[in-house]
Amino acid sequence: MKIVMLGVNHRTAPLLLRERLALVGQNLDRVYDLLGRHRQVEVVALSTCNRSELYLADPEDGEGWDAQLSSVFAQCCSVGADELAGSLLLYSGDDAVRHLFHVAGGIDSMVLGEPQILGQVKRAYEEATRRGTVGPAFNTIFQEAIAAAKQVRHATAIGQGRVSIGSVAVDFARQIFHRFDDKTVVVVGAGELVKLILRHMAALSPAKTWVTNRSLDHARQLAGSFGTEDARPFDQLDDLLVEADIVLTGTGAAQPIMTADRFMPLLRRRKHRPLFLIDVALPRDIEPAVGELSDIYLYNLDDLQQVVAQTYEERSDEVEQCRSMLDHAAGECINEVQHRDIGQIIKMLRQKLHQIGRLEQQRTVNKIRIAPPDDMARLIEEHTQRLINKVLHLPLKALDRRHPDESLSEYAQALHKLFELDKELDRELDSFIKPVSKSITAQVAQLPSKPQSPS
Amino acid sequence: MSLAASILAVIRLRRHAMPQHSRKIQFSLTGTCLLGTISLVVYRAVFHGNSWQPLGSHLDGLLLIAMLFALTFLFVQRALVRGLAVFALPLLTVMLAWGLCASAWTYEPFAIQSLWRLVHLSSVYLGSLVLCTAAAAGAMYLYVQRRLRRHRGQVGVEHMASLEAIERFNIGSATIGFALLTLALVTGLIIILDREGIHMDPQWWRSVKVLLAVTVWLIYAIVMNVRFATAFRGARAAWLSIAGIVLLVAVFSAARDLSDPVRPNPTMMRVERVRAAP
Repeated sequence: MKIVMLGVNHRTAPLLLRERLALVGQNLDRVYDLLGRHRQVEVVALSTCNRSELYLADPEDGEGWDAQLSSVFAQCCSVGADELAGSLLLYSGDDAVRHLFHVAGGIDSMVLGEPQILGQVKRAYEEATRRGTVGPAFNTIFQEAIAAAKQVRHATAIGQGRVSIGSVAVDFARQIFHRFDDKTVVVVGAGELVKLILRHMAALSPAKTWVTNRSLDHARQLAGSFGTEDARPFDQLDDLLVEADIVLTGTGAAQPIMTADRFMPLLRRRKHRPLFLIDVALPRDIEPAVGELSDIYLYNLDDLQQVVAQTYEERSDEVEQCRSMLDHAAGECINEVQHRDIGQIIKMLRQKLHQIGRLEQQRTVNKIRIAPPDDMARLIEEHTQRLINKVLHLPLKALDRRHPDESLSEYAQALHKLFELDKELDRELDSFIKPVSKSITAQVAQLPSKPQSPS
Repeated sequence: MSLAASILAVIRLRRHAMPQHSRKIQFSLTGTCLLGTISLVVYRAVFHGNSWQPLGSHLDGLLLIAMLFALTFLFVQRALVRGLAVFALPLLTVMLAWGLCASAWTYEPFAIQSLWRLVHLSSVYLGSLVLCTAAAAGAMYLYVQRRLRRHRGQVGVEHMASLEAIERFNIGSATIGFALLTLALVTGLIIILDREGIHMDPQWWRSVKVLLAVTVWLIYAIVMNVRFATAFRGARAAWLSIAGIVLLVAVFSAARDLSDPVRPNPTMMRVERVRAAP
């Protein structure tokens, strides 16, 4: 069984090339069409925003698949071979399986331990199954990889914590408020970071979202992009702060626009309801002293980034444990596949030897029909010799014509092991075979002179 | 077991990455402790035969509320306030330890002679149970708030309920506890006034027991009304819940150790061999 993985990822190829090599839509159809023509092979195409990978398993152990896959990539994604050179990543055999396990477990991802990759691997496998390009090998390997990835996420902290500022802000909001359908979000400013966090906040479905900015047009624009017309003039900020439960601010003001003095009279008007303030402006929009007031939870960009950094640190600490767990699972999976593979090989070997045996048997039987009875022993001896030569012909020829890079000692070791060619055994075999051979010769000499029918 | 579960819960709270099975161990310890308490109640019921009553002594009362408390927080933690066990388990430990002490050194049966006394004892113990839960929620609120205000990230609070949910639960518990406490005070007064040959000291309302009881009553009146008395909401309500349970324990102690506002008739002393209810 030959298993190959060829592809690009965020480490080997720039974003522009990864975009062109995305295995989606027509590109994906073409890949499956081209590789599906080889009936015996199993194919799975995995495509995420950070990687495009082709996994192939050939039960007949065919050669040159790396070049073929490379050309399939180039052909299906309309990319020149020269552009691909240097960006492609190739793994074969056990390394390819291990790579898949690492990918599914999220330790090969750009964002360490990201949860999406597991779903993407699962979908890629399901898509290949739907197209009928998955066989026993990939069924085992992909199912085991998905199970191992789940196990790793469950047993370690690789998937814990948040890795984006927006999701960290949402998590903090969830720690303060239980429900959001009665909450008001006030957005001050219209910067990119504000939009990013607001997008995460919108997922909480708050009751009201007010946007205010020095430029009312910008406020309307931002409000409009989130499907709401709730823009308010900047001079109503105090009223908005009284009404708000969450305030997200990111203006370009040089001085803080929300000071402790401004907040003090508002606390009473707010009836001491908790207020979650997120300040992503640089320089800051909210005076740090505001965070000291009761019932106010103030977080600035540094606080949010610290949580993200902490998550990365904690996840990095878990990587080695995850790698070891995934490698162990991959090793077991490889053994399982190889075990199944060796069973298939033995079956094929048996068929081949039977075929040789039948041909030689026919040939000897034909000779016996016309040969004198005294010749019987010689014919049997000749039959045995021919059979042995025929059986050994193919492996010895392969040994003779092996690739110069292939080590002869490995073949020698394998032969030694497979045929138990140690000296003591040879002696034992000699002492066993010689008397048996003599006895057969004697028995054959006593056979009746009339040749017997082949049956 | 309750102590071991408490320690494990605190370790799990302090350490971010704990193996998943530590949660199962904590749950098993709590479950075994609960089963042990139930077995003890059943054993006492069987041992005493027909004379046993659920609130027949302080020990039985404590065992009963420990059992109900464990059941309550296991349910509440699952359905309403995630992470409550960390703060409720130490209280459970104290309750059971108190039960042990009550059994070993101060065991005395109560005299449940009337319906009023039964209602009084039931409302005292059930009220204590609910107010213990409110105190655990108060402690939890203060912990979560402290973590959030110190910008410690999600470590330690990621598996806990939000401040809003904890506060809502605290107010709910305080409301039920307040109702039961009121019932306990009223029935307590009725029991005292019903006794023959007993007359009230003119200064009865100035006794420590009465003052403490009224303070506790007022505290929970405030906590249950923080929606209106907004100056007491948030951390203040949480502190009040904790202060309330501490004072309630002081009231129990006062019932036994401090001067009783009611002056009994000396002839009754010989008859009243059994202790008054707390």
